[in-house]
Amino acid sequence: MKEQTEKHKKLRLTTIAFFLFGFFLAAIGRLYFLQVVEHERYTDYSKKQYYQKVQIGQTRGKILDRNKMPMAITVPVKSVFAHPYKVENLLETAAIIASELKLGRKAVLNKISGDKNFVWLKRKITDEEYVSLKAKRLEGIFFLSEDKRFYPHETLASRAIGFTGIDNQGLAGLEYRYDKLLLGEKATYIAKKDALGRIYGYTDGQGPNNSFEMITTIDSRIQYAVEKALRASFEKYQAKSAVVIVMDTKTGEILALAEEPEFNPNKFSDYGVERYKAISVTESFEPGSTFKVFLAAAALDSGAASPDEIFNCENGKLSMGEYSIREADNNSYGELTFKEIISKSSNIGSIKIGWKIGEERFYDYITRFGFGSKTGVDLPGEAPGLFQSVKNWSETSLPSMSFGQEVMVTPIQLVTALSVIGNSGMSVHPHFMKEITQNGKTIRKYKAPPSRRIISEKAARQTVEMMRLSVTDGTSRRAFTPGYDLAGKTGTAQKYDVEAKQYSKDKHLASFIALFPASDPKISILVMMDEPTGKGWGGHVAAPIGKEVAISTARTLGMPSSNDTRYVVDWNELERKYLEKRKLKVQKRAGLLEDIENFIASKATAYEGD
Amino acid sequence: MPKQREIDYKIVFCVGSLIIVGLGMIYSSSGTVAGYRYDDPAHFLKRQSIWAIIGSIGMIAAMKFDYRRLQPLAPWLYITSIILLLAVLIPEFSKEVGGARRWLVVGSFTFQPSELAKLAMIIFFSAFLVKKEKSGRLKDFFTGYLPSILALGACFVLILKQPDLGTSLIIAAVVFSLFFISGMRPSFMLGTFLLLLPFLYVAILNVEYRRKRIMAFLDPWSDPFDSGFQIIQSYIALGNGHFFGLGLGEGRQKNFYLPDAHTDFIFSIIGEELGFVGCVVIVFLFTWLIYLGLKVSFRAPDSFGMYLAAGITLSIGIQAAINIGVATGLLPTKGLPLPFISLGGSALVMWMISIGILLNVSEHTT
Repeated sequence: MKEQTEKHKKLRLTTIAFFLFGFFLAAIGRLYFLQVVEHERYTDYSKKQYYQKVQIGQTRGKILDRNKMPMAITVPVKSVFAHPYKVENLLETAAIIASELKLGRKAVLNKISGDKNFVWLKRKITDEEYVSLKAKRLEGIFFLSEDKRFYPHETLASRAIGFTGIDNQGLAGLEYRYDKLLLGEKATYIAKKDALGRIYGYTDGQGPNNSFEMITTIDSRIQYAVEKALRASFEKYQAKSAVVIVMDTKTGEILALAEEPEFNPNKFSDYGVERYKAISVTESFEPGSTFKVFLAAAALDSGAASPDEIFNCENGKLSMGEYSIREADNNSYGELTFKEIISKSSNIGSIKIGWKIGEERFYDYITRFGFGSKTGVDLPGEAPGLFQSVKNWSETSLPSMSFGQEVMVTPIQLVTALSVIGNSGMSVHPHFMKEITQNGKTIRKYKAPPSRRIISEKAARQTVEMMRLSVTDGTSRRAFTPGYDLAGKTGTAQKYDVEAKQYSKDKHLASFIALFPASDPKISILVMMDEPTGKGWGGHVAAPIGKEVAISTARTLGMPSSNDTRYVVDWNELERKYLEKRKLKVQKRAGLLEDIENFIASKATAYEGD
Repeated sequence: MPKQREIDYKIVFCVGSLIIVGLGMIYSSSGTVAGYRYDDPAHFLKRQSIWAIIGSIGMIAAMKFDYRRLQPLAPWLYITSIILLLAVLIPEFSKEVGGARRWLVVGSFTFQPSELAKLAMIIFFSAFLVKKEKSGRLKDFFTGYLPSILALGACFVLILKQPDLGTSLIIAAVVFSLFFISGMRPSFMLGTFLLLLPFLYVAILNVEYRRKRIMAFLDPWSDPFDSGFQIIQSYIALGNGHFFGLGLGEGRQKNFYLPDAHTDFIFSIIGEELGFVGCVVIVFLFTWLIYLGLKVSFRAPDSFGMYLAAGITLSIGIQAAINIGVATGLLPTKGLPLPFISLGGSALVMWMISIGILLNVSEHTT
């Protein structure tokens, strides 16, 4: 009986066990179905929820000078953000962050107590801020690495280089103009994401690095020297603004572009918008007497006048109906040759030359020199300059334009037109972009549009000669440097006072343009100072800067002055002297060895003898 | 006279393997969550390892403790469980997680009384049935069945109150199995079940989330982003696994796709990372363990030992079956951890103590 019940119990237990085992068997069947039979279906489904295409920008490419010195680089910096729901002690956290990052405590508190999932507290903080805030170990406060644009030379060439905004987007200068190239293509990654949509990895590691580097035409050595010279004068004359452009006469490559007041792109937000733009391309001025160079070129090319032709300069006063024209600085000239008119910068003489050229022809020439239209330089916001078309000219238009009034030009136009004269009359295209490289390989080089003839080689040559005369024996004398063969032309434009509707007596635009060496110009220089205090003559203010710029450029580029002593090294002689010296030494040493040997030998014999 | 036998190393092997697989899978499946919540991917692994050590001590202690001495302790174990289950309902003593009060808090230490109750009920009813059998009142309704069902009912209702339908159903299922084995009249049990059916129906369909779970069980794709989400994510995990799995740690479903990946749905992650083969191995280990446990039960020297071994074995088997059934969509979603494998300290310790008792019974086999 007892055994019978035991047996029944075991039977019932076995029954339950069989149900259990049966269920496990069913589970295995079900697993086979889900894992093996329907495998494809679920992998397809999972791909949809795991992966996401994301586009990630490259690290912004560097901007280098022509010698590959970095002008704009990208460095990683930290940004601070908060997950407000993770912040534990709101008041304390806000107080610490406000003091560490120099932010308003209330603003921080508002940010971290909101119901957002993510808030930026401060982007791109300094290393010091990062280290000290990180040490505080605040709950809910996190750091993220971001790229920050950095300009290691601060103000150097800053108006040309420009700057980028908080998201590394180009906002001004070359940074803006070549924004797309410097950004590179966005790489497409397949990101792995979790169910909360957060990316935690990428399927194929790093994408191709295809950001571009830009090599510019700027020579930072020249740029530095230019800025130094310009800044000193700018401060001395308390001017409104000042510009120097140094250009390779033959190629149009801009070697230096300096502007005052200075601008540090690392702190662009400290300045007003007015400081961002490059005056050289965005602002137009009445050039004044420097424009006479183009009058001369037009007269020579058209054959309207020859260099030694004599003009009557009316002893300092030319009356034209109700107007009368006087020479600058109360000068008065009688009879002057054409080249003297240019070198001494006679206004009356220039008007007479202008008349000889004629309205239509002069208009045609200045248009051909590129005035009134954009040069196409690769900086944003270029102004075309301005002058009336010939049918709207009044009786005084041609006379005024002959000495650089009634015409608005940009500094870049002026230096470009100057280079045409220096380049034997062939057109020149100003530019900053020299090469685009990617991973060290050149992928694009600047390609100039085909060069056109603007004026004859002879006319260009004769114009340069007149400018040379201006330096050696004219208004540009202050630029004269023994040994440096400079050709130049000064300009002192009275500024038109819009309110008074007449030319101002005390506001000037002092300028100086130069080519050198005059015998075969390689460098074009423009110096312009707007509203210098004091007398403000181009010859006084601008020419000395031009001289300094010319000397430092020449030295940097290894163009010695004819005054410098040249050392010719006779390598053979040098080698002979060196070898002789060496031989002597060797002989000496050999002698010493002999002495030592003798000494040892004597000792040895001494020992032997013992 | 029952003779002393060596401990059953096969049982130790099964349990050891399951715990080691469990630790590996907990690390793999909780790493992301733990890293996100605690900044330490190994957070849960460390905790579970400590529990495994405590569990081992418990197991050895139970193994050394003659199971027959449990018989007189049975009523006290029952009373203690009921007191703790009552205590857990008092907010001052307990912790609420996800709308359920299941944990007693003593200092920084939390404990799940329902896990203790599970083992306590097995011990209590084993002793109780032996007593009723000896007094010949087992088949009587008023003196045999009614007291039994009331004792079970008190425990069932208290756990249901937490609420923890899963654990209360497991306890009921195991205890009913013991009733059935003991030879109580099946008609009584069937009657009770039929009587409770309307209540069960109301309990399930009146509670929104349970009703949704049932609907999701019937057709998970009808609501793939809400009620069907978990089961679909479980299918995806399993489906991604194919034969050999993606490799340990390579699964992606744990990255917040599959909720409770390191607790109730750890089996799906095993399927994803170790594949069909891994799943079959786990199922095999459970089946073998059940087989070994039942052998212990069959060979037990007395009825108490037999009930004890059967109860412990069936509780492991039923809970594993339900967990695996849920993960594979054979059963509606019901949050129950997989014995020895899922994260959960109290459960692991209690399971290991149960195994200790089982091993002790095996030492006394005829």
